[in-house]
Amino acid sequence: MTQATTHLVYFGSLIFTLGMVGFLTRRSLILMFLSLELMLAGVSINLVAFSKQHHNYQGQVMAIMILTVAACEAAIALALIVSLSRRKSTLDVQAWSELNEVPMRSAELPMTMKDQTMHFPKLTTAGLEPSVSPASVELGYENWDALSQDSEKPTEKTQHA
Amino acid sequence: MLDMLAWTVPLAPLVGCLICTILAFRGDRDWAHWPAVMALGLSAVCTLALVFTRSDESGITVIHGYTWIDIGSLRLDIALRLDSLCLTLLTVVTVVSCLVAIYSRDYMRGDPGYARFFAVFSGFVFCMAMLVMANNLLLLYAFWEGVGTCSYLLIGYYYQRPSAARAAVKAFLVNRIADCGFLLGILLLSYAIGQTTVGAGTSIVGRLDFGTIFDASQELFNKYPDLVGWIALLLVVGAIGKSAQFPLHVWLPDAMEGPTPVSALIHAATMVTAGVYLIARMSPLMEYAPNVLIVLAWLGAITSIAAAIMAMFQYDLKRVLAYSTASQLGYLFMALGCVAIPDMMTIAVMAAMFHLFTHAFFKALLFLSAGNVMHAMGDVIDMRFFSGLRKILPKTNILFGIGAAALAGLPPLAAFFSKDTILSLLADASKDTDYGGHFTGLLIVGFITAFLTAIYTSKTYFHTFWGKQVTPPEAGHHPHEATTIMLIPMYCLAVGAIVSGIALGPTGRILDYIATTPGMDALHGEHHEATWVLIASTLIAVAGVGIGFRLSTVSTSHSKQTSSEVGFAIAEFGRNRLYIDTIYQTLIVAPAEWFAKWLGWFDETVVDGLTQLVGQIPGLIGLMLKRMQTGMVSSYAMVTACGIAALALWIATQ
Amino acid sequence: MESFIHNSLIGAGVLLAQSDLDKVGTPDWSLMAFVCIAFGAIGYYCLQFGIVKSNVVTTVGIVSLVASGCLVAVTQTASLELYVFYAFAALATAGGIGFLTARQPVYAALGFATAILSGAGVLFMESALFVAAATMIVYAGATIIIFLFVLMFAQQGDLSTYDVRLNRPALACVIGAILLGTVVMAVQAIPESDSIAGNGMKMRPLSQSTESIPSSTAGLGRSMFTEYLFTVELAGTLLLVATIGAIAVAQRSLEAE
Repeated sequence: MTQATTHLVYFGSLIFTLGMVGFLTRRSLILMFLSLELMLAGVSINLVAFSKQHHNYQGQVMAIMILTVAACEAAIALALIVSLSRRKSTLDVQAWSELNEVPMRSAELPMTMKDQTMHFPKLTTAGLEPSVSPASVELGYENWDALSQDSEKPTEKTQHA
Repeated sequence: MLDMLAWTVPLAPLVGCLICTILAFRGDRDWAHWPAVMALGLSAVCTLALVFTRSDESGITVIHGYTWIDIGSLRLDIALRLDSLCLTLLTVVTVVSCLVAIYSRDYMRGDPGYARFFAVFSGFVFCMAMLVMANNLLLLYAFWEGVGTCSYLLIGYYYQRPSAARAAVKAFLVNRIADCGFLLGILLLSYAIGQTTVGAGTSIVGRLDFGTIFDASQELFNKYPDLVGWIALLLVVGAIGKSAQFPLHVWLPDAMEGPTPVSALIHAATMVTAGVYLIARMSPLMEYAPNVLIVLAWLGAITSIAAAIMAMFQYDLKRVLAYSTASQLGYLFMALGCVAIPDMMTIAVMAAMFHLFTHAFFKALLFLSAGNVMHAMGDVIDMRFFSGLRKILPKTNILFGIGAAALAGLPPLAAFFSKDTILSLLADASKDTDYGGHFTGLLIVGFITAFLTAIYTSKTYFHTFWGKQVTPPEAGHHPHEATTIMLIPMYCLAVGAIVSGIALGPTGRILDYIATTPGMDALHGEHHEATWVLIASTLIAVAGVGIGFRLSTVSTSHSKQTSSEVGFAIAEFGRNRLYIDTIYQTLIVAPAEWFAKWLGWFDETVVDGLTQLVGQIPGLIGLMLKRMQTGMVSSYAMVTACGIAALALWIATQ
Repeated sequence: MESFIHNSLIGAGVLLAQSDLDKVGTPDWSLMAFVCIAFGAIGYYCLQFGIVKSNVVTTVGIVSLVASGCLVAVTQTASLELYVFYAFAALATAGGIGFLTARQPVYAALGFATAILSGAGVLFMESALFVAAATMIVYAGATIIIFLFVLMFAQQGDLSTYDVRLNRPALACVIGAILLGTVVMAVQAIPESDSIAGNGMKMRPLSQSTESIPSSTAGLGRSMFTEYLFTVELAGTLLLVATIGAIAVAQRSLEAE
């Protein structure tokens, strides 16, 4: 490798490493995404360096493809980030840890997500048939009380009768 | 023809056992005795046929069955060996078992385990017959164990009763201890024979054929005199356990928990004689270990005296009979001890087998009579609660009287002759130069035991059947005599008890018969019964009967047993079986139980704990790995980056 | 004027180079590189730590980074091209470090843009004109704009708590240093040569080589639409799909409101 190529490779690797460190350390979704872009930039610099060394355009074409992909990725990723942040009303990536086995160390890194009221399913009291199957009530746990009360009413009526 | 007869003897009871087992599974209560009785009858007939067809033949007949295992150097043939020694005991076994089976048809009637009883009964006879007829010492050992198992099953017949279950386990365990010694002896013998020229080329098991053992015994003694002593000692250990001699006699009294026919057959006539049979069978080898035989004789003597003392103070009728069995077996071993003296081997064996033969008859008779009493008294066998039963049980009175007289040794009944043979044998042996002193002592013990035997036997008889009539409340309003079916076998046994002594002993028939057994030395000269022994034993028997009568009427007329303090202490001592059981309990059983409990704790806590610990390791690993699943993207990215860094580092350094 | 600047620069370079006289002839990067990387890593760590906590540590960090840069500079032979390259590299590093340690997201975006622009500058130096221009347009232009828009939508308040502290900076530092180190090691393992012919690489394209500057973009275009036509068409399809996808995702998130 020529010395020029060497320098360029170091430079590209430096940019890539900076991007990677940023991806690992950042907690905001957007900044993580930006670090991704930085990594891609570093890679394209490397490719151009090698293209220069080999005196052909293969590297440059690859760099252009990377650019294209980066653009697509930017579009979709940011759309997703918007919708994700709407769900949890925060840009913190650590809000999305529902696939965990261990509770988060929330003391060290404070969370900003709002406390969500947990909806526990309300079970019918023993001995009574649920009148409506739960599958037809889509996540409408708030109506469960009404449903169970409906099923209790006939027995009350018979008692009165 | 001969082999068909020979194989019928064990196989008929086996077939009976299998049929009865099937009937037992069907819960049969009426017909199960037929297969057993017919099978046993058939084998008795075949045995007698064998005896008469071979009466003019001497020597042995080895009848091959089939080869069970034939792998390389391991070859186990199942073969029968018929000779006069074997046939003597076989006659006893089959005839007595047939009679007892007929008896137990009525005795066990109505019991829910009726078929089970007959199944195990026939199985026992099968094992015993094979034991007696086995050609190979290892085969004998196998059926030795089989007999022990059947005994366990029969003692524990009333398994729901805790005392019966415990007694069965006790019998089996004590036998097991003896069997360990026996097995060691067998293994040593097999090894030793392999070292001799006779047994050089034989297989490990084939070496133990009796023919090979007898051929090799002289050479064995020349090469390894000490080893022969050890082997003999171990065989003696086995015999002691099976025949309930001191110190392994503790199981026999408890074995009375089983039904009375079981006691009659197993613990009077057949199983306990297996030990005697073993020593008699191995006598061509045992004669080279005279010290061991002296030890055996002394053990027999100790048992005789101790059992006689214990029998004097028991309340339970069957236990009295059990102790008397142990005592008479001691006589047998004392007789066998005379094998130690050269030239006396044949006579010793003959004496032992003679007494065994007669003892089987009258002891079975006594036990069956006790069964009658028990039946009439509503299963109460404690003598304190009944007496004076001669009006209720007239026939049993006579039969028990015959058996008791035989046991006491009154002439001309059976045991007079057989016991006298043994005593005169001991007297002859006491003239020997090497071991004469021992045999003098044994003779004295024999006389004392005969005296005690007469005392307790007559005491028991007079207490039970004479005197004031007392019946326990369990007997009901009309206690009845035994049924005819129960009485007929007893009549046959009574005939045997009366006749067998005269028929076989003084006429010399049994002597000549046993002498034809190969391996026995030829008779040297004539054998004279010492007259003074005859007179002395008669006097002793009569005196004992008188004292027993006195004790029994004294005990019925006076409410307390003995008046003096010393007498009372001795009585307590005897009643508690000389505290031997207590000693065993504290020294051996309790530590063993503690050890077993500790092992159980160890197994549960340590071993299981370790296993569960190992089983929890995946869980722990999972716990550790679970911490990696934080669900946080940055953690995952970090881990990925670490992996990439490590990989890159590794690649770069290659 | 040019010669004066040229001479002064050369003089400065010689002066600096004279501190390591033994290294002038054969530039030996091996240990120096790792030391530079170490300094850089320490510098970054101190910086990100010190910005929030204390100024002393910040200064230490900055000094460390500068020292790293100087070490890089002194161990190389002097040439104008090289110094321009070093300027761009320094700018890129500064932008990157700024991107990493900024607390406000907008300042981070600024650092990001600086780094990208420096990268584009280097690409310009290496005659990859189209790539450089495209990089500037796409990254520093489009991406930053989208980012700022999303920031407007999603960011609540000024500074969220999750931006105050970084997530395990030490471990990330170590990983970055290791990666850079391995790249350096790998590159140094390749023997240096002045031309390709010695390396034996035979990758002659259909189009002519880029030895002359003016024909670079034209040559790239020719290469793209002849050799790599399929790739170009795929890229176009990908862009179309991405556009549709982005609209679809955005639509659904609107519906969920």
